[in-house]
Amino acid sequence: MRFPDFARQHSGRLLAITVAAALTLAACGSSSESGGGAEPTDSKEFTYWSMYTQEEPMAKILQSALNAFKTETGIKVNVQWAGRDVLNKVTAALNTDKVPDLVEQSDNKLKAALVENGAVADLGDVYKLPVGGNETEAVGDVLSEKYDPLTQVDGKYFMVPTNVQAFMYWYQGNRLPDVVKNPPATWDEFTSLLSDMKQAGENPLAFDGDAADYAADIVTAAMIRTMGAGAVLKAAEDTTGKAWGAPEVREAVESVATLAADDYFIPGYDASKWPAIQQKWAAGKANLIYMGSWLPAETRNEVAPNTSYNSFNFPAVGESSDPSVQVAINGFSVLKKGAHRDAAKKFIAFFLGKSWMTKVSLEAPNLTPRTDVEVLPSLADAAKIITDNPLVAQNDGVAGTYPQYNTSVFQPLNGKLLLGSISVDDYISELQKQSAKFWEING
Amino acid sequence: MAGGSPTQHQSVDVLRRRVFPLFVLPALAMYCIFMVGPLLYTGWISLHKWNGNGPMEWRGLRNYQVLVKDPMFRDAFVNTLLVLFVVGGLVFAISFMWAMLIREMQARNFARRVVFFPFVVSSIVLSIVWGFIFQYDGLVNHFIGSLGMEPVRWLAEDNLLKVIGGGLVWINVGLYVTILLAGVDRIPEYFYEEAELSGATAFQRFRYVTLPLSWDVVSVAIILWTINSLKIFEFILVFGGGSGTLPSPRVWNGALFIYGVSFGGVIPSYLFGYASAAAVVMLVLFGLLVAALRRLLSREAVEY
Repeated sequence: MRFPDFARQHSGRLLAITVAAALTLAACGSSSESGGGAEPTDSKEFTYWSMYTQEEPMAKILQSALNAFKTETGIKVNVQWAGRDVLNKVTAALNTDKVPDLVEQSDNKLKAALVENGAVADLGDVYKLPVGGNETEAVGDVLSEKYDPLTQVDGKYFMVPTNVQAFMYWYQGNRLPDVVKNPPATWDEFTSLLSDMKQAGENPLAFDGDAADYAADIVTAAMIRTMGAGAVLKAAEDTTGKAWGAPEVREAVESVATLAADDYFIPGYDASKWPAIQQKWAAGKANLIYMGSWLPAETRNEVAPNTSYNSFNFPAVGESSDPSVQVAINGFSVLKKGAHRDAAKKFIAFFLGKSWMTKVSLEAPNLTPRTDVEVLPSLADAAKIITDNPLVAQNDGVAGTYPQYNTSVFQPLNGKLLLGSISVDDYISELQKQSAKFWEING
Repeated sequence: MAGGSPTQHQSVDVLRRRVFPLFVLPALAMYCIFMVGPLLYTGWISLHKWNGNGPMEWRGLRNYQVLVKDPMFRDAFVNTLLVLFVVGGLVFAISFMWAMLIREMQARNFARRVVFFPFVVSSIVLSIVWGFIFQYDGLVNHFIGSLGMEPVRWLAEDNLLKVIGGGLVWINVGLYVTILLAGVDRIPEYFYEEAELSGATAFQRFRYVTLPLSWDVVSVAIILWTINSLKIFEFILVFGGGSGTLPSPRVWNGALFIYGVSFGGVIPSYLFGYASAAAVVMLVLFGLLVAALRRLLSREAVEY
């Protein structure tokens, strides 16, 4: 047989040629990170990749805004309703020259995916643009300064917020009128309320134990109370892990550990699949749930008619408790590589107009970063809470700044704590040990 | 050919040599562009720190050194081996039992289809169903409750890997029963009749007739399982709570680890260099395993 002989003789050369070609092609796919040149001033179109899918209420509001924007300015928008994984697509696209101008996600995700490698443009100039709808106000005039620490890195705006997800305890006010009148403000009041509910044969708390990020949200909320906003992130950054040995950490951990130890969670919370437990809360089988302000929209088809959504801030823990509210803010970023950044920035300012923000508030429905828009009754408590209190990034920014630390150390241990499968002492010593190990190998 | 002159023969040979690259190059080019190229590029990425875009930072073998020390990777590595050997052992034990049962059934084609069915359905759907069945308020606990027993926390973190393993057995048995039956069906009936007349038990019939006479099929099935077990991904992924949330790292396998440190999770880590190093390690491990298995399983074919 001569073919195999021939193949053997030439296969090395053939393989080398084709592999070289393949690697050349692969290398062609990646280009170095660079800006899109000087920013134009009169673009007549731009490309926008959204975090929403086409059928979502937010997408419908945004589509209406895009249509109105085109009518008013003549600027055409090429929109892709990419969904929540939009930044994975953006990350891949950044290796090519076909990048969107405008993208959208939460502060944590934008930081992790784009800010870290300098892919986003400074949006400081957007804050000087007039908002849409014939208003004389600029973006900076209608947005509260309390969002600045969340939307800036090194003093530069990497995003402009359009809606806010705030974390707090939710309950159905029609079922718990006493809590409406007198929501618990301190940890003692809170645990006393939980104890009363338990004694009355009710399930005080709902929590989907398999959602690791929910556990981290609850534990971080307590830590922010005792340590102060920003201190949790600092502790996570301590490469020795010793910062987790502080008495404030212990105080917070001991507080939330009682929730599992005293059986305040609904039975089965540690052995169900999300959203089973949240659905039980919606069905009135548990009283309180710590959740983001998407909850009313997410459960509106599951609750009884005429349910009243109410909420209260995570109670104060300790003497000098920090009342900061954890928020994940969603909004726009503009990519440096985008060729039509000017048009994208004009649209951001346009969308911050009162009429569009009102639609976001009433039709999505979401909390907005504007304080002068009407709010649905289901989000009224939540809106007041974020207006009255300082804001802090979800997980104090741990998840957005160090996602791998969050996934491998912080979340799993917080999950164990709330599932009652680790003692306070073990939690603290494991957090110290695993943090030190993490930074040793990843530092 | 035999009737052709030597000159004719020679010219055909020359022609063959000339056209050989024309026939081989397109397929080889496709293979290299879509398989070898990305594979080599993965190896290259694994030597860098890279978040998916922008410049790569050279790290040499540092990603591999970190992998060895990373407890999360060690867990994923152990889980991958558990799936390969423990789940695989159960899949083959049950598949053989089914194959022997189905061989003797009247309605064997129907039984074959029923057993094969889970393999046809998307494993994401099956994973969701599996989760609901074993939920605290799920079907299994309802049944247990009807017997007057306390509900079991099947989906608690300590039990989750076992429940996932059970689900993987359920999904995969159908495929391997079908493959094994293809080997078992070829065995002439008189071997079994002879064995029965000699007083062989069911196990002895399996040991001395079925296994040796279907060994070629069995060895292919084992290698197929080895490769498939490396790729198990979505069934475990769906056990994560919430949209985009990954399941507990305690149940990750190699594929989940690679996803978890690159694109996966509510806030992805985008550690593409690190993920590539894990992919290379898993690929090398399974490449060696497959090579070793091929040597181990190669036997002289039994003629019958």
